[in-house]
Amino acid sequence: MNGGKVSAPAAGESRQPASVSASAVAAGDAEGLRLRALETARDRLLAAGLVFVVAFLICAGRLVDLGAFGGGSADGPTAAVATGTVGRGDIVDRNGVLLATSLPTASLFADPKEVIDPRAAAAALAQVFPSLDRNWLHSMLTHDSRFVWLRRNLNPSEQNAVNRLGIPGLGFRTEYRRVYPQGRSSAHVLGRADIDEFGVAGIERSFDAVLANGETVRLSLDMRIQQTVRDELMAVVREHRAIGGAGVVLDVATGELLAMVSLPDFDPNAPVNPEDQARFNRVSQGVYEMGSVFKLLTLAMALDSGVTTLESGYDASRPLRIGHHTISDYHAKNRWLSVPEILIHSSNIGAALMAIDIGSARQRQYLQHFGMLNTSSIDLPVQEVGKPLVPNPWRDVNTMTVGFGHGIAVTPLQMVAATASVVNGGVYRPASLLCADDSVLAPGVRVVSPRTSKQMRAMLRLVVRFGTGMKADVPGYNVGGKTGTAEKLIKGQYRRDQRVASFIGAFPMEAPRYVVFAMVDEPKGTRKTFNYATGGWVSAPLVGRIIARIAPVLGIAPAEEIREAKTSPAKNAPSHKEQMMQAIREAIASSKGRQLAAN
Amino acid sequence: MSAWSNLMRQAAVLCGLLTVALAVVLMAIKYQVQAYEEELAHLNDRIVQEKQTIQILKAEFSYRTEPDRLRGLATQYLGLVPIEPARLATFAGLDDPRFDQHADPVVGTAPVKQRSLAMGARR
Repeated sequence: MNGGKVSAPAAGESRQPASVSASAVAAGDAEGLRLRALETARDRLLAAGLVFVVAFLICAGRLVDLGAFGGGSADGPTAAVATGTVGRGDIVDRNGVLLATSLPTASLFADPKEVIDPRAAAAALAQVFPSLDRNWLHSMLTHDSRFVWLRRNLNPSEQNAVNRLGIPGLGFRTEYRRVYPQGRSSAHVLGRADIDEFGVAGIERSFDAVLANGETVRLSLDMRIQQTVRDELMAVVREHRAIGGAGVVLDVATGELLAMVSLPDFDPNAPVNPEDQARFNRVSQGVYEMGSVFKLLTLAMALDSGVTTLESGYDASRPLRIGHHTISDYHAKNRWLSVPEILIHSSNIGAALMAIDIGSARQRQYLQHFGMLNTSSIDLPVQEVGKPLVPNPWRDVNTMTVGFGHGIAVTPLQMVAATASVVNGGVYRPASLLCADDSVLAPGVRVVSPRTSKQMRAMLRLVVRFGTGMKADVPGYNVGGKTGTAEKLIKGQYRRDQRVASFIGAFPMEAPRYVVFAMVDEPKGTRKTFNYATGGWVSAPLVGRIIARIAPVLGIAPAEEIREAKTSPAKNAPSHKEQMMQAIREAIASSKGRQLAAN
Repeated sequence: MSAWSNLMRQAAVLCGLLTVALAVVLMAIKYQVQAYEEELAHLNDRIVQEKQTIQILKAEFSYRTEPDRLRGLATQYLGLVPIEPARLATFAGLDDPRFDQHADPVVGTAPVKQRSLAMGARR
């Protein structure tokens, strides 16, 4: 183009001779026209060229911008890297032991339009899967659609067998299947996810949104503790031919549940039978009249409100009659009993009189604070948490029976959380199934004074040293606790032969770390227990065995006293009763002073 | 004048060459990106596969180390029993003179006994 411009003056030069020669004018005019047309063409080319130059410059500028400065929307398509876990999130225990996970499996589907011979295909598939009905298979293979599931979650050998059949129109899809590698041990807590991986029970349900997002849920459970509790509980349930049992271990400082066992249990990996009674969670769902274990709450209320002291006593010499109710003692002493003795011998009369002193309104207020009157706020679906049964209206006679744990039915979970607040210095924290390491600990609610808590620790220790809970003692671990035997109310009748035997204990009693609860539903006496099927004979030794096994695992060293306990008693040792009286005096004296009652 | 036009011609040739070179480079890069994309998809597939394998192995590990199962195996083959509280000792406790006095007769001499206590579960 520029070349054209340069040559233009040369064309002008050649124009000048044209004006000189007239004959050449006509030719010169034609020549001029031609030249003008050329000029116009050059100008147009120039204009078009400029437009292109500008366009190319814009492109070049943009390229430099993208390449050198990363401008504009250059960060659009980036490499899609597979992140996160595969499938639904895991559930692990507090130590990271895998409790629930999703594993890839092949699921068999069919495109009925592509199946050539449905009858032969159905026959062949029925051979591979004996549980599938041939007619059903045939109806699926002739279904009027392009996609039908034939069988979900095949194992590799089944998949191989189907592949070998070589039937056209069949295909596999990778699906995830929920697997519980630890089996039955925490089946009630974990619950269940259905075939499409929707949580339908337990933690699987209550944390469905989190798990569906692929996140891991870390529970407070410790599988070592859980298995130990289950193992010991199962042995006792079998030995006493009981219909079921419950076992709980709770950290008193945080409210974390280290073990939550309900028997009978079920295999979470097996196909579901919704009618199965074993799915019932006795710890969170079942409500029971707790019986004598409730007395520890009554005594805590009485001491905390100041209506009684450890030096007072009540007349338990004869049964109480209120209207047509009679309150009598199981371990009847038929005499005046001091307050510690009421707990040690588990006197119904004494507890009832104490409850009257506390008064109905105050009793209800305390029970409210102990979390006994409301459904507990555990991290399980509401359907799996039992609502306590409380007297309505709350008459004086109810106040008395509630004093020794009758006429009120609560879940073991509520009982454990309340007991933890009594022994941990007086602060209530709801029981939780989530590991507290991951979250900030919610502030507890003070329910009784530290002094009351200290007195209660001394009293509960006395129950195990001298009272109904003697079989729960573990040398070196200063176990304290309370037994309970409640007759079950069946069709309005209390049944002597159908009882709930329980024991709630804590250890080590000088500074409790864990509350351990065991309940056996309808135990039968054996020769070994002299046909007794009470809390003291069935559940107390069970809790003792559990503590002896879990304390070393939990890293709690036995007290030095253990060596002394092994020595045989001296010849002229004081009698059991004298020892007890001495211990009571020491407990009272130490609870007044600053020193803590160690045993 | 002719120098100028000469320069222009050279520039045009250069431009043409550049265009061809750029086209070649662009194509090469495009194919390279395609190859990278294929590799990425392949790697992503492998990551998913590895994750699935890890998941399966984790499940298997959990299954095989289930406390109940381990206890059964330990009782059957090793003769181990749960630790009794009386068998726990601290190093501070070893200097305690009472320690030898109540030595368990099951285990031989005092030094052996002390070591076994410190280790825990040995019988």
